[in-house]
Amino acid sequence: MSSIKSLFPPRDAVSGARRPDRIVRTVCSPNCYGTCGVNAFVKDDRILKIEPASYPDPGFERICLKGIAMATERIHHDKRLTQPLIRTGPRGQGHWQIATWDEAYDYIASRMETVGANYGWKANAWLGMTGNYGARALTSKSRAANCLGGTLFTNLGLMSDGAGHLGTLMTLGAFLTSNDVSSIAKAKYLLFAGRNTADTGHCEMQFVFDALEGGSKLVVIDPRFSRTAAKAHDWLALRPGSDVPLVLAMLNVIVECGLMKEEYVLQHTNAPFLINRVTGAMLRECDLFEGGGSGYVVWDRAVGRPAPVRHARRPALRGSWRISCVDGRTIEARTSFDALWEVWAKYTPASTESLCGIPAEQIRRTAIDYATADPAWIYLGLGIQRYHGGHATFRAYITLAALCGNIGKPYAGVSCIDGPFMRMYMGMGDEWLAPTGTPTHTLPGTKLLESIVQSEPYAIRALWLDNYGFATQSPLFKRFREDALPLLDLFVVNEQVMTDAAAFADVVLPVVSYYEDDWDLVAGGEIWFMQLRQRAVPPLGSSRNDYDIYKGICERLGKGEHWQMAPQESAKFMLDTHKSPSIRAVDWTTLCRDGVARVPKRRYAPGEMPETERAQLSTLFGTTHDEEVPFGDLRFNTPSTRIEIYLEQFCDIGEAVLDFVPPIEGLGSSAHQRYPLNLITYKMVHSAHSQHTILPSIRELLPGPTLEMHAVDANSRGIKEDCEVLVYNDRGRFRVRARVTESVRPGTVALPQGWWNHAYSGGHPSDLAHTKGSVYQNRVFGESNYATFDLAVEVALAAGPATASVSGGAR
Amino acid sequence: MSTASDQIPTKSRQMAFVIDLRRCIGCDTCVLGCKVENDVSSGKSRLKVLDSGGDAIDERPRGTYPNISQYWVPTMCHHCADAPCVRVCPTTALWRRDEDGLVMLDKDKCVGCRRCEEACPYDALSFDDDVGTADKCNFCEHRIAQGQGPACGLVCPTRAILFGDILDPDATVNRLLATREHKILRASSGAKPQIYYLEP
Repeated sequence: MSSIKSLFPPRDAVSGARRPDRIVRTVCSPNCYGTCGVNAFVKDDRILKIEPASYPDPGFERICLKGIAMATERIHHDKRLTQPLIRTGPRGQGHWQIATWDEAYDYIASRMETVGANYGWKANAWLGMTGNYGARALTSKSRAANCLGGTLFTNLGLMSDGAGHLGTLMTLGAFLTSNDVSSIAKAKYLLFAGRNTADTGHCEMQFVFDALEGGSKLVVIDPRFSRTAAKAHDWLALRPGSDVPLVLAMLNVIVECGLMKEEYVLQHTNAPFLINRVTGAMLRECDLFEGGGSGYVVWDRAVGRPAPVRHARRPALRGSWRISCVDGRTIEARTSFDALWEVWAKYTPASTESLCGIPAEQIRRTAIDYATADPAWIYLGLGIQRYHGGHATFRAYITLAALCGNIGKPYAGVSCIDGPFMRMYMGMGDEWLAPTGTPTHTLPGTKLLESIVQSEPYAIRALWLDNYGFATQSPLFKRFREDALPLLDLFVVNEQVMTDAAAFADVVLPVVSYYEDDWDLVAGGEIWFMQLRQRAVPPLGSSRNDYDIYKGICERLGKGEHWQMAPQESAKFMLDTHKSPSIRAVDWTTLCRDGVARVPKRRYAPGEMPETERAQLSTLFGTTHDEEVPFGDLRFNTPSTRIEIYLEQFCDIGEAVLDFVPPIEGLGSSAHQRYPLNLITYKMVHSAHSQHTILPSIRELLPGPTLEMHAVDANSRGIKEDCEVLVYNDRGRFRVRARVTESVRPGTVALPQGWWNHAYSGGHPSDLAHTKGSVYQNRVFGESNYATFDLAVEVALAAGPATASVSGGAR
Repeated sequence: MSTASDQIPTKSRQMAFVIDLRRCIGCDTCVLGCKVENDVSSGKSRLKVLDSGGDAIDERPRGTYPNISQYWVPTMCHHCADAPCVRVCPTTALWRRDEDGLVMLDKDKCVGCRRCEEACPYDALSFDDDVGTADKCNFCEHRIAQGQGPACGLVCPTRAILFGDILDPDATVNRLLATREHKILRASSGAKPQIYYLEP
């Protein structure tokens, strides 16, 4: 372990403080939603420390320990890469030759050309994740793939963040919908489902504390006692992946107590729409009325017969009727709510206890508190959707909010992630992404192995990774290493440090950290600001940013004319060509002057957004987002323009009605019979993903991973505190130390995520993962989410000597 | 509960920390912020964050599932108004500054006898592995001198670490103490420590 002290120049003898020779305002921007503005105090091209940078809104002036460690320890880390490396021995053996960029490009270009000649250019592929939040850093690979006619793998499924949004998309017609987190103190009741703000969003937690100080109630739903749960009034320790039955039981209580907002449900959801009892299809005006259109139909109690939605005076919420159609048929019709309730009614608190593990009384209390609080804010974490049927969990909470009239209401609704970051990333202009005017081929990232091993749907023979801790963060690396890598003619990795994935590359290209890069744009993760990345220290060795790395290969391959923008020029270009009007509205002069500029949530006055823009944004983001309150106009980009709590288009696969489909490896599954423990992973307050666990001062505070297991599970296996245990299933195994604790529910074991191979022995947790597809998600999105937590394992005392190198380390 | 001013000799100012344990999430940002501000050696710290179990690293909640609780307690030099370390220091390396009540350490006078370590109720002193001299929180006096606050408070993402003159009735710290239950650690030591913890 390198000494922190050795990284710092001596203190100033007079003042006692180390004096910087310059202070640079830039952005802490690893894979973390904080996107904190920082002042880097630099002396002799080393960062001495960082402090929170000034903000137009002082509430956003903040940093955290991860940022401090990244600034002071990662740039000059002993694993840091500063020169291109070309392997000289078998892959993964650690034999490298230091190369010039020219030599590296020669190596890469000749192999890409051979792959292109043998399999077509699309056999050269790129896969990037989000290890660097600079817009240019994130998207330069797309520009390269497009210029060269390669294949671009998608990453939303592989990053395990896709399923929930697919549930949201079909129900609300939008991917992302969130309140501004800094306004959370205006909410009176906070229901956090798998949301662990204290561990993962330290900088947002102060707003939650503001709420608590103002008298708001915080309830946390989480299988594990997180730091956020420690701050909550109530903790619901549910069985992993059982949010749906919990929510349906809450709905039963709410309906039984007369707390459902029936007028809202009738006006803003499709619950009163009539469906065909047999087929589940919605009835249309043309089914019932001569010359009728495609509009939906309700039962109008005012006249005692069906009526088009727009004409009905007193639509019925429940009921079934025999109705004559214009073609002479008589059909059994009922409201969609009737169909929903037929399924939901069985989820009483008492009958649901055994499914979700929450006592009936706690379910009842939570339901009544939520339904009677005003405003009541639901905050979702992404963990709840990391199960095979993860789309249904988001849908469940949206349904709960809808039946209580909370969607489109200020400081209520259902929030997850939002802010301009995702909008920036998803809406980059075509002129930026595909300067040749021709977008290239894309394949689902979760099907990477199929494309290499089975050439499905076509052969991939060269893979170039960037911004991705592939070995620790993906479910694929073991199978990639064993089955796919031998078939690749080229494997290139852009990296800052020699990761477990880079170790297997043919060529490793040194990429700069965000402190060495210049003029990139960082859109706020949860806060509505754009910030400017400015160079604090010069690039180490011959490291380059991703844009310059791809510029080099494109110049080699005759596409250099598309890569001639100076950093400042490309930053301005990315703003000017962006598809989101909010992003385009960022004031360039302010951004250049202050390093931070507001991203307006509302660009147009109400009703003034041009229809062309509305249509484009709807396609892109599911919604226009041109509003302060998500869905404040109660106009939804769904077929009915309402909240669709009944999904007609999924009748054929049994997903029209929200119902509990147990996790694929959960209770009652065949996997669970052999491997009776559910392994979930969690983010730690000291680390986000895999970037921080190698930093010395983080390691002083967080010596290594341990497997948290409840005493009941430990005792029955003869496992005691600090024993080395073997964790295994059919797909893989690894060893780690056990931690016997009261903080995780029996039947569930928990592991902090982001630790590299060296933290374990005999394998890695990702070796146990799977990518089993979901029919629903495949239909909506063309791929399925990596169901990270839908994982059955068994744990046993490990035989043989302890070998993990970091557990129980520096104290 | 006695008021803060009852405990302190009459001085013009008495700097103190007020730490809100309801807001502290145990993230250790203060620990690292202190380290880089004060160039603290690897493996050492002037500040640590204990969890309710009393350990800085091996954290675990109290109670039995599912009725468990956990909170975190940042602790550093408590800048005691009647500091045991000052009393036992044979070389006056440790001394109490009249103008603001801070307990100061002159490293060049420290002989490394470690009597202060034994006397301190708060485990606030660490010792250099090579030279053997003491090290501790000095309230970031170099920052205070420039009108800035201590680094731990500056970097705290949840705004849990506050500071100010405990003798100034208008100071934010006093307003907080007036409205929230609070306590000092190891009151029986009689050291009159100047870190006030708002109840979790």
